[in-house]
Amino acid sequence: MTESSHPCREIRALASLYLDGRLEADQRQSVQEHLRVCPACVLQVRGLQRLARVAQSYPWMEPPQDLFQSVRKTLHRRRQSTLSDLGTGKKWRRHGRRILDLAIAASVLAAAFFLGLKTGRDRLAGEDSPIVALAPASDMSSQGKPARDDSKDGIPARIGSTGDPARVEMALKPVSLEETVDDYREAGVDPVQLARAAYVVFGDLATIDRLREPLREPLVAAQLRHFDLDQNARRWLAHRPRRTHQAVEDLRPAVELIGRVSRRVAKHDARAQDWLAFQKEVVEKSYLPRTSAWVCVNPRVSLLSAGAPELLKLVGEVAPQIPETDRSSIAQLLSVKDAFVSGAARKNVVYAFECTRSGDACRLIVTRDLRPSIDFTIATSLSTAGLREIAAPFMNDLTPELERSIAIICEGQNIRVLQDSQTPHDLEAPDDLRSLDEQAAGMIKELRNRHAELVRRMLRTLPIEILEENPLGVMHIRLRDTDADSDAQGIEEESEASSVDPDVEASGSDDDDDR
Amino acid sequence: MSLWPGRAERRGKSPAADLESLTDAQLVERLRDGDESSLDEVIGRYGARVRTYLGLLVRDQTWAEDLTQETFVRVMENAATYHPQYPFSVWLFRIARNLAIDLLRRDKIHQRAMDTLKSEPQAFDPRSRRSSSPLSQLEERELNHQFEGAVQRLPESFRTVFLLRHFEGMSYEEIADVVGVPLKTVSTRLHRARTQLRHYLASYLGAEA
Repeated sequence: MTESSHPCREIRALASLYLDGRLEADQRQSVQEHLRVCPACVLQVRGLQRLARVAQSYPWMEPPQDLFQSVRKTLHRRRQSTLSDLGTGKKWRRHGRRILDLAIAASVLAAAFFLGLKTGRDRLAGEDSPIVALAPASDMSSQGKPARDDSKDGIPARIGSTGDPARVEMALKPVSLEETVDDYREAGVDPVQLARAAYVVFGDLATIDRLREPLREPLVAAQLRHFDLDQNARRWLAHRPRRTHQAVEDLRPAVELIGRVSRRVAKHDARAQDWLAFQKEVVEKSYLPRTSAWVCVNPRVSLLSAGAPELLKLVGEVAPQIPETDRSSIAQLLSVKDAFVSGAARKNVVYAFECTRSGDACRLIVTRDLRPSIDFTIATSLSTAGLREIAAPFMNDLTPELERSIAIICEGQNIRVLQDSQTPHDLEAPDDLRSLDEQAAGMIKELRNRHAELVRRMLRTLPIEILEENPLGVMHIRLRDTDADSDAQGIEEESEASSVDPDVEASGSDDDDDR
Repeated sequence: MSLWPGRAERRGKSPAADLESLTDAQLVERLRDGDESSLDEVIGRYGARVRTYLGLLVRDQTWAEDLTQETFVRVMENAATYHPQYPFSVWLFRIARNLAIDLLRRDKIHQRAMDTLKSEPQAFDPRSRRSSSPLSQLEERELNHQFEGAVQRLPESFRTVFLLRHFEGMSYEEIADVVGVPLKTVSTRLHRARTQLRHYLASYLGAEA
């Protein structure tokens, strides 16, 4: 066998593929020829075949008899855990992190509204400026057409794409605030659920979960105690070892800050019927530029802007220039991301609030998993602007000690990583998850760049100027001052909208994540 | 054409005739609309498969039952996120696998499973098959038990690939989707899994093994 050992090794390495019928014809022939003359390899292959037969004959295990009923029961129990329960302080069971979950969703909503809603000033002035969403939408009736001048009609649009790639299209649709909200309600979509769906953060949650295990229990316990919602949780806490108590005490300031933010947001959000009021409050507390709007070149934010109809119309008219290939790429991006998200990333999330400072701006960072990611970055960025006012009272309490405590919760590195806006590769992840994660990240980066360039090119044809662009790709734009035309770049043609009164009042933009 | 005997066609029975005619994607569509009767059909089709898969993946049968239940809860809860371009089974087993992995990591029941393996054989109930004689029944039972143990000795990544291939009859491409690794990795893991299993079960697979 010595002289044939090398071919034998090769043949045995191919045995699996051979038995699975995955060899090319020439390879298959080589294997067959070798098997005709090598009894040892025949035995090897037969061993594998026998193994397959053993697997085949292994009996199915019967599922639990009452599987259907128990699944239904679990589903119903979870559904009953509604937001209103949270708001009234009842039925707050088992997991304090739901508070954070809620707060996260609500905060993200708030951030979305910051960019998506009219200001209170707009409303009081009786203006009816629409939100124009360059956003995923199922209704493609307006695709490929210039912006409709139906801003006065306030045609509603769904800004809550659920991430179905087939439905992800770029469409230009004026949206009025009330009708958008009604749209949600008619669809029976819980706003928090909607926000969750839109802002699911993907990352290697299992790894993070494991890393944070030592702190999770005391944190959850402290949450429960702080909210005083569950006597059982108290008893549970009382039985924890002394060390845990100490950990809770150490974390108390941070936990209390988290709790106050959470409760504040939850209070708003739990009152579904006052949802609009909540939006108003968020918007009214947001100081927005009066002569500008926000647009975004980032397909993940899929934007866009709110402001004077004339300004939005300008953007809208060139929006269809974004080619079909780009839209399909976005769909492709989403499918890759979904492949990841629908898997391990969805559950076992450690929710957390982070509060920190970024330059001179207070920043309320909300994440589900502390993993830097595209979605997280979006939430972060939007929070920077949109939650400034909401966050301000709490930021006053953000002492260095508190910040350190939060850093403990976040295991230190997360805050740093987040501030650096890194891709999700900084934390350790199992190879298989990391592989898909990296695949998605690479594709996202490439597509974002391409998409951003397309939108920039599009915007350069408009009589607008870009005041700033944040790392997320959200641009602060305004109509170019005709006297300063020469300062603008890339103007290729004069739009009819150049006659628009530049003293328009911008109000925000609509963030519609494409998940 | 595969030379392996398949077993994916072994399905559970469906409870309702009209639901039986629906494709998986159509069933999920109904789940998305909140139709819980469709869930019954999904469980009928996949309940035993998921249960078996999880049973071999985590070994601890109590956990496997819990995970099976949770898997279908997630299916119902996340039906809206299912994209028909993926086979339903790929999506389903991805959910099941991820739940199992989370559990294995978090609760270290993998270690428990290994401990169990070293101590006493776990009761096994081969309800769905009967052999012709008490002796062959005994042999089969023993073989199945050894097979369970051997599968448990595989690293999780190998185990998953092996189970999806041999118990779900998934293609390499589908396994790659479930596990989230390149095709080449699937191929490598599968081959190594088989080789290791053949080694573990050498005395049961006969002289040729």
